[in-house]
Amino acid sequence: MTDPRANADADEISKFDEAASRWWDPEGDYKPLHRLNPLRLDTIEQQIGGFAGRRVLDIGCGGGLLSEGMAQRGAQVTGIDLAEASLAVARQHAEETGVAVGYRCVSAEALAEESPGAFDAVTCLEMLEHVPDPAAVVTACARLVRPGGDVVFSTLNRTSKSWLFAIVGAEYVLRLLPRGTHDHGRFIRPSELDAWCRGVALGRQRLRGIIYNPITGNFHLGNDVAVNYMAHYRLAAE
Amino acid sequence: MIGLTVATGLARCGLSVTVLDRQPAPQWQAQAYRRQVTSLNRASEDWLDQLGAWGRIEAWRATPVRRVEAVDGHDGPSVAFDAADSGASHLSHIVESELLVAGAAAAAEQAGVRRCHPVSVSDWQTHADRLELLLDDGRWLSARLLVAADGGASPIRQLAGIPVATGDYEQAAVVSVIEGHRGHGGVARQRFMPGGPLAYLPLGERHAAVVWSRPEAEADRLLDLPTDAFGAELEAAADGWLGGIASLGEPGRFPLRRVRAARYSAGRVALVGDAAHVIHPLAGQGANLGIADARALSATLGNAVARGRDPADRLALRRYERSRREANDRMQCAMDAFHWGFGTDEPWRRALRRSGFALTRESTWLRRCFMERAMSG
Repeated sequence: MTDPRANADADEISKFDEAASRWWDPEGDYKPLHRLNPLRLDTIEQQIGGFAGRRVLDIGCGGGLLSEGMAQRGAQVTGIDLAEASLAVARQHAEETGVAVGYRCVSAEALAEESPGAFDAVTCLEMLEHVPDPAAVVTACARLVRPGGDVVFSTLNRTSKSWLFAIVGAEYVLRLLPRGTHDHGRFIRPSELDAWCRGVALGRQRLRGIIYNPITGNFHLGNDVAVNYMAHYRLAAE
Repeated sequence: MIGLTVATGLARCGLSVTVLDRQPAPQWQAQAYRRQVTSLNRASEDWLDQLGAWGRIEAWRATPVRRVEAVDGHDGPSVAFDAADSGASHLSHIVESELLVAGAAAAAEQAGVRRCHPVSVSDWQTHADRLELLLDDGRWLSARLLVAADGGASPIRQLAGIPVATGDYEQAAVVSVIEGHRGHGGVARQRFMPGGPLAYLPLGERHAAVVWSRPEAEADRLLDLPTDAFGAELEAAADGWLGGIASLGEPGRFPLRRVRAARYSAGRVALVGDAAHVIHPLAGQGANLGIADARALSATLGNAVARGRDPADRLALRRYERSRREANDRMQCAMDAFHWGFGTDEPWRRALRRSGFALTRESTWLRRCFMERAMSG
């Protein structure tokens, strides 16, 4: 048995464990994620062609914001994360709202060993920038999705603009996220993500930037991928 | 245990079956007698034999009951049922519950049933052709049919929204194992006393499982007594049975309730055993009803699947319910009648009992009816 935390950074996980209780406070630490969530749900729904009856895996599900949203729209969702405290919050919240989501403390790599090709779609949002070996997670995604299935990533680009926005702007100036959430050196350029995906037969469908409007506090999709972007891939059919 | 027999029955019909259990199956090994026991009638034995479980259980240990004696109070009338009267070798077997589970689990494994534990179903999504079960460890599992054998409180029955009628007998059963100075000779005894019946179910040569139904407060009092004092009360109630108590095991208690599910199935969910019906345990019939459910469900679904139908075929599940509902309800009513008739010592109820006993003792036909019912469920 491989160590489920092999491709994980203990410091990164403990950052999330500490903030776990605040996941579902729409005005709290994760306010931007709450604001971003409807946009992410709509986009994914469109990209994978609807949630109803689809088996969806949410990698790095945290407190379950996205997982629950997808389940509410009819998907059969499995949410995985390595931060046990976040999962506890996710399970409790799902119980309170009566939404069926399967939460498990397991790494994407370990789950790929256990149930390859088990999902119609895999989402991996705001997660790659927190692991030491993102390419291994991309490989696991390709193994987890069925042939012809969809994989959606979103992450932060490694540009000076993103450094200003995400680290200085989001964490320090705007206090959008708990301080210390991000480490700029780990941000991923779309070209790097593309290269990892090509290596495992994931073909890119669409790349969109997520644009934040600091005046209204809202997000929208655009062509500027310099800070935060969503990338939709599809695994080659057999 | 009922779940394991359903699984084995269905697996033998060629279905692919997974058992989800909260705990691993016990491995049986020779040990002191356990206080939780079941009385298995001949019909249950036959079915367990067909599943490949009975031979094992009998080889481990099962105590044949050759005679059942029922006594009203300490000096009231009595009636006896003897296997010899109907030319049978025994009326039933007393088997420890843990051993029954171990035997059923071994048979299930042999039949190719998969087992997962510790796990339970926490929710599901319904699709046209299947259920997607969400397990409490976060896994999803596809199934065409979910059989709930999860006990009287049945969380699955609740999730399926099947209503139940429940009743509380306001009694608890105090259970223990005693060792007597004399052998029991294969005789099971039932003494009806105000407050609830006291049953001795024979184990081995000189042991017996005691099931003493008492009003709840009284049961608590008995359990709080030091072992010696509890033994003395039991001895007084036992009236010299087994030549007095030589040794006494740790007592335990469980509450007595009645549960009756309004339906035995809903969509792709079917109920068996205690999930569908809980009866008063005074005659030890609960497990027999559950095993009969398992047998009926396996036969009905086996037929449906052999004819290319969905295992959750609505008509097949209706047929299963029709085949079991009457027998289960009848047994529940009979137990309630016993409870009502023997629960208190008012003179008119005593008179009624006296005539009942006399009638049963005098009428060979009536006695045979009772015995056939007891042996076949």
